Amino acid sequence: MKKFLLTFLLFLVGFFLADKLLIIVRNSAPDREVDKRMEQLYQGKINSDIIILGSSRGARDVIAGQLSDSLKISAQNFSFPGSGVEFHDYLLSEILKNSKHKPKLLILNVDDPEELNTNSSRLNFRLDRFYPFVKYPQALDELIKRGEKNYWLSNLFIVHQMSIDNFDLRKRHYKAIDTVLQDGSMPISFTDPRFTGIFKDTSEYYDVKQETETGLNSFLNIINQCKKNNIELVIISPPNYYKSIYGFRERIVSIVNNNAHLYFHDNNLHTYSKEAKYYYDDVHLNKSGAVLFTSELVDYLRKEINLSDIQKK
Amino acid sequence: MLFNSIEFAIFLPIVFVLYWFVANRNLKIQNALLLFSSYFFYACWDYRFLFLLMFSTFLDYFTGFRIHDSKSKKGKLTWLYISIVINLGFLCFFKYYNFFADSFVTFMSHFGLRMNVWSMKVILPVGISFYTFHGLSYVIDIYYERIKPEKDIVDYSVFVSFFPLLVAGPIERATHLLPQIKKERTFSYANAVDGMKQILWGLFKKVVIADSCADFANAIFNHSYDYHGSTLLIGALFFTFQIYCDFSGYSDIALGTAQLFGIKLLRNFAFPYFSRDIAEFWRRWHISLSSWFRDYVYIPLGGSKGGTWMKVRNTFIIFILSGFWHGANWTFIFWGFLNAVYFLPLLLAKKNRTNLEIVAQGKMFPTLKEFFGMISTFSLTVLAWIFFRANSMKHAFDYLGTIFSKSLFEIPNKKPFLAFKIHPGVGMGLILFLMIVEWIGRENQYAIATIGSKWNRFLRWSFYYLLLFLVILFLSHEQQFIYFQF
Repeated sequence: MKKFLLTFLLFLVGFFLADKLLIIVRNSAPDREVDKRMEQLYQGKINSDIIILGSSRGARDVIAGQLSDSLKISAQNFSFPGSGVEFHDYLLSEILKNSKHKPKLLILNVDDPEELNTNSSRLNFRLDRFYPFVKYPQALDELIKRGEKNYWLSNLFIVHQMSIDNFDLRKRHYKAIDTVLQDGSMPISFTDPRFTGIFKDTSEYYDVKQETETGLNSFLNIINQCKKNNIELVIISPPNYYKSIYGFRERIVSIVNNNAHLYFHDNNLHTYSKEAKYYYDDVHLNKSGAVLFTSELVDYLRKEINLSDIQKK
Repeated sequence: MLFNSIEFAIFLPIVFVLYWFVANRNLKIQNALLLFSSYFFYACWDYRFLFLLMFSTFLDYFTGFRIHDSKSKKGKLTWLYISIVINLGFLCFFKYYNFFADSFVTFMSHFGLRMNVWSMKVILPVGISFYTFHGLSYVIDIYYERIKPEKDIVDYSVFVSFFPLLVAGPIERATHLLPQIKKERTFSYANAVDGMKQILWGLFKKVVIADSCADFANAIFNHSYDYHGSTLLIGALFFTFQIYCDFSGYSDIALGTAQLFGIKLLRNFAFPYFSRDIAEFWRRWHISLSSWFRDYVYIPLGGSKGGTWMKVRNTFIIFILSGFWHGANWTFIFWGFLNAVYFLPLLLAKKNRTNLEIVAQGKMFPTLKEFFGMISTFSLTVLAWIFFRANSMKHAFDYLGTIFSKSLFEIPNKKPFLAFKIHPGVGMGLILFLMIVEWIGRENQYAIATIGSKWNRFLRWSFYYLLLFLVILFLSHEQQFIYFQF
């Protein structure tokens, strides 16, 4: 018995010490990343006046640099492909918590019909974006909060703070589709080979039953955070290569209840969005389309928002 | 309290230390400690059902004596039936009530009759299928005079409730476990180390493989209508490894834990995915359940002693019962039926006992014949698991329909693999690692039983550290074991 206990203790001590060597791997992970926006977030370096939040449609369809040049206001795109409203709510909270210079205008991209459905397989809370930056306590705390990691184990063992991807010691490189520009935007200059180019003229009805409580609460929380921090909120819906979902816009209007500006692209007013040459696929614009949509957004902001106030603030 | 939880990591050493250091001088105290710990372990799930467990234990303890003491055959049979009816009554009520009620309503609706049957939200007491079968085997064995009733209620209660096997087996027999409980146990360094290794391997299978596969399998099965046949095939493969690693991982942890207390439980898995035919698969998969059905249903029904028709009938009965045991859903019943259909040609050709020995015993690689046997058996198993995992029969047939369509040759969809903590390629790499280790260790009780035994301590510990690193790396929110729902 004594031998067993001693051997077991020695085994555990050896494991505990070996585990501590992983600090080197964990702490060097951010250097291997190319998309360092999460690190900038935790370091409080997101200090632009305009922040764009959203999924891949926010990332690809809105070019922050163009917005900035046109409006003469600093802008940063903080959209992540595959991310949902719960993640956007988290990002906004962290920006407000960490940044020295709070944003004045938030552009939130909404995706029809899955914006408020946190069970969707397409839009998620991008936990994978936390692991490369897990040396920052904020990232680890969120992983613990979401039940991904255990509080006690992550305090005891470095390995429990990490994911298997942390052990890929190669430097990351952008793929053509995931290139993040300096301003955080991710426009695409080519077309998805699977894109048929046939405009879908029939539409479906929005199903409120698909919404989840978490999705709705996160959306409301974004509105409330903006209100509380005196941030102008503009909710946008960029073009799709199909007819809009009936009832989605109305549902968003009813939730927003005059607490935000709404800009839903109308392809009857802007006919470019009916041309296949401006699309990467049926839900994302390509770079030329993104330039046109950003110009359209600039016009809207000039018309609806008191930009001089933002410039002065 | 799950085996893969922090609570269990605290609970187990405490019980271990009390067992060997405080209660070690008296067997009765040791058994009382095991019983108390087991009840505490069970109460952590839901203390209300602890009383059901106690009642079930007392019922079989009492009826065991009545069967034994009855002078007439009729009296013995009456008490046996009382025990069986009450035990199965509870099982049916908790597990099958809503299934029968819903099936009845659906059946009547075919005749244009709309019925309003009282439906309830019945919570399934965890482990009820397992401890009910423990108790049943005990009273049936007494009836057939294979054993005598156990006088010591504490010893008998430990047999029913011993915490490593309480919630998901293996389904023990009184003839195997009770003598161990009654015998004085001495600590063995070799057994304890062996137990720890088996726990480590079980945790690796559960936490690293099963839970990772579960993410992918769930994402694909839950949105199967959106994906190509190629994606659905990958989903079925992931589920195939999920269920194996989940359940055999649990069994390894249970067997390893019991070994720490000087008790050897029945083996539940013997590398089933290396089986060369479906009969061999069933001798290697959930062995304690298969042998239970063989001994307490198949043989009493006449087994394979009768004519061909009787053999076929009995085979279908035990496979369908086995499916039904898993849960109140037609998908499980069809899964059992399908396995019976797989089994039938072997039975009719009298080849169901061909592959009794370990595949490629003493060799590094299998022969081509063995290899093709393993691949074809594995493929049939994968198809059957689709029914096991699907939400309904329609879902299963649609799933299969998509697999056997042109879209099988399309590039798999990316969507179900996005936003998970591991790349599907890493998942497949881990499965490959598992299969290699299992192949190397297939002649042992569990895969890593002898791996590294001839290495020096540094190498051997490095291998264990690697497994432990992976377990702690992959451990996230505690995932239930699939078989807890049965």
